[in-house]
Amino acid sequence: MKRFIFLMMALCLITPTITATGKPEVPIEKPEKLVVWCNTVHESVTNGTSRGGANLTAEFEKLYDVKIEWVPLAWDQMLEKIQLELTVSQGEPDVVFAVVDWATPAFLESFIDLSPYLKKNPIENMEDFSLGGINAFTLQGGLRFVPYRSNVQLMHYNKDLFDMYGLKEPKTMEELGEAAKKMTHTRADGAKVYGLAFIGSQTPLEIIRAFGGDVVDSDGKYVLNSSETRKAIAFMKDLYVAGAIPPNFESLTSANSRQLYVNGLIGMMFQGDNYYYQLNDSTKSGVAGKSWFASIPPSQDKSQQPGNVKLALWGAGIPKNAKKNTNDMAYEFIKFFTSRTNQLEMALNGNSPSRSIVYENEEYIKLAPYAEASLSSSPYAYPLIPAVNGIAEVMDAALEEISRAITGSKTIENALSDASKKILSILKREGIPQ
Amino acid sequence: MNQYVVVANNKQKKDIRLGFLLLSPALAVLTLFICIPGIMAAGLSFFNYRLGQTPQFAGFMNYVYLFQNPDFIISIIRNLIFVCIVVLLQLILGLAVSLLLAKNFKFQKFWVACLLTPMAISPAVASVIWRYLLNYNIGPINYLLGLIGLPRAQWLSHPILAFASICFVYIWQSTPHIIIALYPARLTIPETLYEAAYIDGANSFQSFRHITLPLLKPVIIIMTIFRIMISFRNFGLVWTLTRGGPNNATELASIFLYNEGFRYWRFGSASAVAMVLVLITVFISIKYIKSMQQSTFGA
Repeated sequence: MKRFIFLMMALCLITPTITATGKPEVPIEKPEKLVVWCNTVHESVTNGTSRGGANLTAEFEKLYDVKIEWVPLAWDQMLEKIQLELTVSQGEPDVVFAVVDWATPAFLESFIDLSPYLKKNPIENMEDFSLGGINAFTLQGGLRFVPYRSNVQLMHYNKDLFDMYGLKEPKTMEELGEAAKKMTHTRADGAKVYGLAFIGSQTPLEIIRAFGGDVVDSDGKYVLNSSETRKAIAFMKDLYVAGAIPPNFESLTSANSRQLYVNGLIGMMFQGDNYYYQLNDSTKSGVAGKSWFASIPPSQDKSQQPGNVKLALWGAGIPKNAKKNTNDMAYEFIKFFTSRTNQLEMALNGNSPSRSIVYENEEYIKLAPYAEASLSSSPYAYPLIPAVNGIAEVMDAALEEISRAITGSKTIENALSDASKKILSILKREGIPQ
Repeated sequence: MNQYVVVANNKQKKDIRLGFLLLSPALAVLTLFICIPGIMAAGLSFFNYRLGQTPQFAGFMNYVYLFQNPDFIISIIRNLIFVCIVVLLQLILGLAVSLLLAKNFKFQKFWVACLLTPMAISPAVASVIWRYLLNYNIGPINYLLGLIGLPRAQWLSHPILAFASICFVYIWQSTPHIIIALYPARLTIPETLYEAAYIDGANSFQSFRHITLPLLKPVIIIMTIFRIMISFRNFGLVWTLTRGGPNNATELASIFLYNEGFRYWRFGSASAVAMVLVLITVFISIKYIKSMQQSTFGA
């Protein structure tokens, strides 16, 4: 009995002590920090370092009493690192940024379905996000990533070169080809200037799209073997023969082509809209103040204006193997940074907003003169490659054969026939019905 | 007598135990980082495994897929050609330079240091430097060619030139490995042997053939085995320079493996590639080791 009384007294003493420390009645696990795996730009546009705007990282940390640990990954190693991290039983990141091109079913499967969170604690005005992007990030009806940053591809061009050759902004792909040929020349210092930058792993697909073709459609159906593709390849071959594209295009990367462009060695190139800043930055670019932009034009056979373009869309998601006590906070992170207000703030910090409404904001338009061109291209913008299993291999096979056709080491027909054989066997192995 | 035998046996056992005890850290590291991953990779090669999916037993299907895939067969053939070219040229160059360095001349140590420099540079850094030097548009080599009126060459984007370029850079970087082994070995050959041969009327080539080469043979064979094994799994340099392109012209088996594993995420077939590479390397090495034993100890 004495023991029981002692125990009760002890309990009476302990209970108020616990309550007095301010612990919540319903315990909520609040992590000390949130680890976010991202690309450098995802961080810089939130913390005001880009253009001296709002520091949203600090705001979030203050609001939720949690530390955000941004872990920027190098672009060329990002997918590999993320994929490997997803294989371990408990991964380090609580939030992961992914580009829509990676969003194959197998990849999306490794991320939490955000639908229950969205139901319980909705993200405002989801209709602002591009439907194509939302669909690409959805698996079996469940959204896995919320769009965070969106890049529409535009044609950037050197105004000086256009003026020098009396050229106007091309309205069709054929006009673009003619302009590229005209402005190709050798400078007085012996340097060769090419009309069009041509990135082997990207531009052929963009041109094929502008002609209305594609490699596989969004369901994974093989569509490369079309008259549009033939025209597009013939067009590219013509540019190659005329010397209007760098002959080493197969090894030319996006960064290489920008480097050539800022040195005045390229007349036109297809890049994300917000590269406008970098290309006109006098500390980094030799063509600063001379670089302008336009929508990527379609082929003359297509009535649609502008042409189909590449959409680079980044989303934020929560890996299934993230620490369980961080999931709620990770969702709050995603909700916070993708809200209308913060998308605008980040856009003013240099982000390409994922919400279409930001493109209509006057303050943003003042800062980003390309906003209108981006907005007009966005209905025709979709990821460069559809997110189906085996797509990386399919694209490698397609690009290999296309570049053989462009350089003339195979005829267009033979290249397309070989591409068909390879790609159809890959799609068959992946179980994608044709 | 029996007592002595028991004592001797006990001492032997103790020595064996001590031997194993001293070896145990190395064995533990080998088991942890070589044996277990090796066994796991061998096991994985019999499964279809993609990230986020449950592995499915596939029997020999990954091996069947590989040997029916012309890209894999070509990458193996390309790899063998690469190994033959680079190992042969490394040996010839390494031997020539080692013999040259063994002669007395001015600033000898300086030249030895210079020749060994490529090996001191990290392969990743060396590849990045060479990628810049060989760049078609802005590379200094093409610029120099332009100055002497020659057209620019697509060092890394023409199929044949790209293959030649990766061979060249690899030879540049790894020949010092041969020099570092052959140069001291050549210095250990007594000069009296050459003097005797000279008195007997042997010329330089005969001295080289009948004195230098036989005495350097064990080292040459060991270096050949090393270089074959290392060259066969060369990855970083080629990946940085060309990523296997253009149009797979420089896709060696290791690049094929990387693509299977880390671009297409087919870990099963990537493991099967790794197993095939291990078998080829082991087969070649055994052949060489046998020939080394025969040449050193007789048949």
